[in-house]
Amino acid sequence: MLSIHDLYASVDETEILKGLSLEISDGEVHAIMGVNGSGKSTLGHVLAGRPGYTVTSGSVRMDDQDLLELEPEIRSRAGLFLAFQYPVEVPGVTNLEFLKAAVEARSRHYGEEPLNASEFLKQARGICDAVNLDQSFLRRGVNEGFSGGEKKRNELMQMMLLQPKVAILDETDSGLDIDALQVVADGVNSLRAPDRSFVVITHYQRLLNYIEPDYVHVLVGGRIVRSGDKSLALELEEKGYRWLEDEVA
Amino acid sequence: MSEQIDELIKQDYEAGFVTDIESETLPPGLNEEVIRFISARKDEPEWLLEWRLNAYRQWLTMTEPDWAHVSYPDIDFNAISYYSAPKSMEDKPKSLDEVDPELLATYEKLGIPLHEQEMLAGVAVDAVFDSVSVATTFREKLEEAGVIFCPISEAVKTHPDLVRQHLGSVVPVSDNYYSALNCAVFSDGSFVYIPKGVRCPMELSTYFRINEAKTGQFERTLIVADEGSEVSYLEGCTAPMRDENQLHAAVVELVALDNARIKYSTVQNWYPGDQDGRGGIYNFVTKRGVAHTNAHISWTQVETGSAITMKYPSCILKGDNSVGEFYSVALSNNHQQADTGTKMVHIGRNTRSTIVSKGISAGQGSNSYRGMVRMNPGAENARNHTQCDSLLIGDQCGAHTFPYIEGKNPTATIEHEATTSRVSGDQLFLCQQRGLDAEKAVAMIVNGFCKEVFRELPMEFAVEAGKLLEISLEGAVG
Amino acid sequence: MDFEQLAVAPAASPVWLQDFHAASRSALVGVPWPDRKTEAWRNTSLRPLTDESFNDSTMTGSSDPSEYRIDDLNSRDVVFVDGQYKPELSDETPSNVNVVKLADASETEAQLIRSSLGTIVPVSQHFAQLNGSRLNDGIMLRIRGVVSQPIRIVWQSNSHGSLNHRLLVLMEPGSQATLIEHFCGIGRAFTNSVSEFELAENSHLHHYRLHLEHEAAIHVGGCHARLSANASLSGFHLGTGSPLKRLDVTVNHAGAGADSRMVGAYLPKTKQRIDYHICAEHSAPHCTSESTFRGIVADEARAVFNGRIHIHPGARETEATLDNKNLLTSYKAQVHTKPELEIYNDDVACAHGATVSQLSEESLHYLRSRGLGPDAAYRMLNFAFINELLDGASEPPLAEYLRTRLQNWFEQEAP
Repeated sequence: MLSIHDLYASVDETEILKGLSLEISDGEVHAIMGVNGSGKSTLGHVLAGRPGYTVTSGSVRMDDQDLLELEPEIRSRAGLFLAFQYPVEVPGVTNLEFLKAAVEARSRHYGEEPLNASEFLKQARGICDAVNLDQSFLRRGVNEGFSGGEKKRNELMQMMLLQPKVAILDETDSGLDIDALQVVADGVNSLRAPDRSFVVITHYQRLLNYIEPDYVHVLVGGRIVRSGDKSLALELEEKGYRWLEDEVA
Repeated sequence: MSEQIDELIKQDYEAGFVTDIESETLPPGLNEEVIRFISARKDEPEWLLEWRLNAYRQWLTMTEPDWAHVSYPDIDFNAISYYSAPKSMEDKPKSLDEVDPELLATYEKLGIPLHEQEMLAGVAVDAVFDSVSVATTFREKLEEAGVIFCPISEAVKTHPDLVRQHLGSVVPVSDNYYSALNCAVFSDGSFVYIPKGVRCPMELSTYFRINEAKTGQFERTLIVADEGSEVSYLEGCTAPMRDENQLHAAVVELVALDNARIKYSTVQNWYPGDQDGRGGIYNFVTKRGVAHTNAHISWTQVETGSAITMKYPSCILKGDNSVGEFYSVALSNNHQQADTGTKMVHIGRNTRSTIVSKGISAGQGSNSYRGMVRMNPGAENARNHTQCDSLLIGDQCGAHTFPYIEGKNPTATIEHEATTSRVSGDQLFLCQQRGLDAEKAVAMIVNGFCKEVFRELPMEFAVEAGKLLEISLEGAVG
Repeated sequence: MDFEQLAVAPAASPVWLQDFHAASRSALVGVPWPDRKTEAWRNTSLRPLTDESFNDSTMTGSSDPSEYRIDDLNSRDVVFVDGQYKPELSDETPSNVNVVKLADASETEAQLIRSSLGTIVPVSQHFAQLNGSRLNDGIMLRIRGVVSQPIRIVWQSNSHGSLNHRLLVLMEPGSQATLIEHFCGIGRAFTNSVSEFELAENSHLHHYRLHLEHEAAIHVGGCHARLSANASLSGFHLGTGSPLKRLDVTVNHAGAGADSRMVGAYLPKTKQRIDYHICAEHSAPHCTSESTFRGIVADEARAVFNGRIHIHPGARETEATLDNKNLLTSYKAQVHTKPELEIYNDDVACAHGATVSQLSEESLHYLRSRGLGPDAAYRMLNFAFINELLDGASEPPLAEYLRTRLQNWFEQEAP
């Protein structure tokens, strides 16, 4: 489904990703772990096509499409979803308008009839309940004045509406208390499906107690230096990242 | 609180004394003959006389600006004497030993001991006493580096091509009323040239001083930093106490060629007039620099003196990636009026400018920030940030902000912010409760308010500026 | 052009109005016609006004006010067509709202009018003096108690003439009302408008002033409020551009504890001009004012914004803020903004900010990462920039009406 091959990328002329390769098949959950600055978030941004993140070499394919050639919105419509670590506030646009525009853009892309307004509203409300956000959030400006946890749940809500093929969660656990973490994890788990894959970027093993990964990869200096199953995460928890960093050095 | 403020605001002007030496002073009045006299006295080439006369003729057709937030009685330009030179200067001293001891004593009182400075390596002083430069130190060391630092009257003769090429190139003759007047009658000033790739080996400094009664001072400074060079220039000003007002209309031009850096710092402490607003300097100065590609011009000013100030040190950011900065502290106490700020004209791509202005109003003082930031259509991705803060001390003063912001390029960004605050009774009480006296407390609060600007000054100046502010506000708390 | 020459009083007016004409005219004696050297006009040219003669009073369109209806607003409309009050087209106003045609005022009413008319607008507003010197038609609205239905003044212009609009609103102590000034029509007239609002103690006014007239309509005018103790004014301004549109808005906080909140947006495009000069005067203690204006300047348009906060010596414990943000959407668009502070008192907390910038890259990317195309994302953020100002609107149907218009406006506005 997603195939990353020898990816090099830089931000402001500083090389962050240095030869990252990763194969993700349908239905798999991959956890990417690493210290701050190891390139975890950069990977998410590069995949989503954020301006300022330049791919210098390597390739990324999603469903036989060259992902890197696509504009950010086309990647999104093709089924790539990034749950941002720091979702931006967009005052003046209500959550509902925003979600509707996104869902409609996607329907149009696939030549489908867009949902009518009341069906859409019903669906949005349902998802609001599922992520434990009050329905009044639909009428508020996108992320405007939301707490950290509310922003993360709002990202989750968008993911549930857009039904992506590949969902990347960029430190979705950071800043969440245990209850919120459970809500987010439940949401993700409810979306797990044979034709949907997840990339879970996290600093801590904690999240992986709730979202069980098939594979765990450790990023050091912009490359995957170790891959394994979920026991690798436990090993990291125990020994810290220094152990692997030293080994790489 | 206000009683205490009144008391603290009262201050003595420490530099207020008259040097008793013989001067050669032209009688008051302005006409072409006066200009010919000045030019002849300075033994100037024909082209400069013509330039002066042309400026004078243009000046006659111009009117005094009336847009500033200041008020003063009409100036009688025929009541001003346009030339004054200390007599003892007739035979120019070859070294400090030949300088009139009384003159040197004047500098001592002002805290500019030339003898000491010669030893305290690092600062070269071109001292302008009234209209003639009297002593220049460290010439040799600068000459070694190829730096030219001399009175502009001398540069006209020794480096005529350089002077002719750049004089009036940044501030055109007819730029404004006072710059035109300056072009016609400028007395003396400094000329600096830093050759390509040279980092000036020391900070350059000039102290100007108006001494003779009824003389205006019209100095003219021109600094040319050639490609890749770097210079820091300091300027300090004081004037004796007089009942009548004196006009000071200087012009400063900076030329920063590609990759050059010029830092120009001013501590202005001209006589501000007495507590009732009698006397004091009218400080109407034009300062502007042009920055070529990748060049950097930084203005820092601490303005505590003068009865009336109208002054807008500006940057023309002509070259791509050029940078302009303006850091200012302006204090208006008693009846002082200041209308000061800057202009940042962004012409080149990726140009950057920063403006930090701190205005302090006390007594019945009036302090205005007036600035202009313009993004021309070609100023692709240019950026400006302006922070403009006013501090009010007492309920009789005024603090004003007049920023002109012009955007003509959709990729350029301008951000302007302004705030006002006061030294509150609560703050003072807190300080006092912790054992500080009110005076110290205000000094501390004011110093904190100005910190962002002070840290842009060269070290010695920063300390001096802090003290100056403290003296200027002495007695000012409640 | 010459103010004195233009100051021609209409024939056959009541004596008090003749006095008013004369007083207004005398304020114009020797006043030069503004040019670029006049500080208040340095960035706006009066050429479109002086280059043309506005003397064709032939109606060019229908005067049916229903075209400018605002759905669901349920407003009581007071209709003017080409500066003339049209009772026959107007709704009946609630009993606690008196509508008095100035020229028909009774002696007591005239007295009431004279104590406010022309005293709220600053004398330095020369076009307002011109309006006063020519004043013929106009109304006084007197509001008592709580008026629950919004009152809408429909200023419709259909001709190519020179129009003089005048409104005086007297809010009695403790009264509350919502008043919408809706400028509309297809006329290419020159309109000189003056609205004055007298807010007595404890009165509260929601005021909307919508400049949605024809894109060729020239307008020089404004609205001016005086707030007595504990009165509050909430103002909303929206202006599209024209060859010349100059609007002055002043709020004088004259009584202790008065409060004003002003929000506004200007949207010039093509070669249009728009110039808002707003001013918060603080002459009494304990008052607050908060102004937020935003502009999107497209194509070859030019916007001017001048926002002034003026704190007088006695206005202790004043809190005043002003915020102005601008977006330029084209290489030929221009904005001139000048936020000003003039403060004669240390017991104040004042701040202002102004920006000229772009839509945030980060926001654009966020929208695109959810599947919106670049144009759609761009339009949505432009809309949001203005729409945010409608969030606090007291009349949801009106906000809805404006949202639709804004949506349409931005639909035509591709990057």
